[in-house]
Amino acid sequence: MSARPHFFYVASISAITVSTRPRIRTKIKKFAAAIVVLGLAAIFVSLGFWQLDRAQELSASEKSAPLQDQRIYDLTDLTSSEGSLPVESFDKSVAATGNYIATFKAPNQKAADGSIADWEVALLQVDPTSAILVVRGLWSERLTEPTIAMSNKVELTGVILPSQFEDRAANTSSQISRVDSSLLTSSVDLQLFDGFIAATSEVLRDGEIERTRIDISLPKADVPGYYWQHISYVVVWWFMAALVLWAPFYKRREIDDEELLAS
Amino acid sequence: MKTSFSASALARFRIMAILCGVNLVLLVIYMIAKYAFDAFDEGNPFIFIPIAHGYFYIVYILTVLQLAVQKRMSFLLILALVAAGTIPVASFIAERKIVQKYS
Repeated sequence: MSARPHFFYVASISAITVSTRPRIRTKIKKFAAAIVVLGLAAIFVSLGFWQLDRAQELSASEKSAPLQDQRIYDLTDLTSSEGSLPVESFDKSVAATGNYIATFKAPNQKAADGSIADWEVALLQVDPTSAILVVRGLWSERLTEPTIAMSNKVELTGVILPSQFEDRAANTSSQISRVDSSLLTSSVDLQLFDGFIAATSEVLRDGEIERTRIDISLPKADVPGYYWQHISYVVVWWFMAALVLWAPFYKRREIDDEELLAS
Repeated sequence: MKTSFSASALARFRIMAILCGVNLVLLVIYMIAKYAFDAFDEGNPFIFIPIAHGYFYIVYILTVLQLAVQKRMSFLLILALVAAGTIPVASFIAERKIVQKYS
């Protein structure tokens, strides 16, 4: 084996180190750029999906039922006190039997015809462990008939609706800010159904209670804009994602565009 | 006289920049009227303004890309032109500058 001078090895190692350093730097730069590009593309794609969800939400909220379901369901056939109210149950007629155990005032409520009034909302216990909120009628009529004030067993028919999400007044022990059972979970020792029933008839042992019933429309989705507007934004965001992915492969001619940008 | 492909790309970009700019100005007026003055109910005849914005912008980006590839623009300039389509009045300025440089 031929002996090589020491300086040869030193020079070789230095040369290797010098030549590999920029390569490693370039690789790190490329890797970082790839991460940034993929990150941006992922953000744009998810923004597109977000807009798609909003478009679908809008579309679902604008769909009217093709045929009004005339059937009266038992409350427990449509929902349970352990879960949230299924969307397909909204606006369906339901029947329930139980006793009213509490009454609340729900101020400044808006009916389907646009009229604003205070409503009487009661908690109907339907079995030993669960209860549901019922919009019985106008607060001003709660004492006009003695039968209304009595807490006898009541056979109730009404329309089931999702809980409200916008406060209309302050929340106190005797009044609720919105028709939403989640406001009562801390004060009532029962499982509360999600949603509420807008009563259309209440029958006591003595007969049906006569009072003004309130027609409540389904709340509209809180999504601003229009379906095709959101779809256009889906295309824009995904297009941006494609643009970001294409960017690293774009080769420009050496021209002084910076001058144009600066001007 | 036959217009060159590059010149027609520039013309397309100009049309879309002006359309996008006009639409954005209208959109700003629409938003102020809708949210500050509660001027529009559902089914108003001006709903085409926000809806058209997204579609005009897509076509605008396509014209920017076509021109950018033909003229070999820098990526920074492409980004600036793409962003100009989202800022009111900026697309008018972009259109003027691009016409000055490439026509």
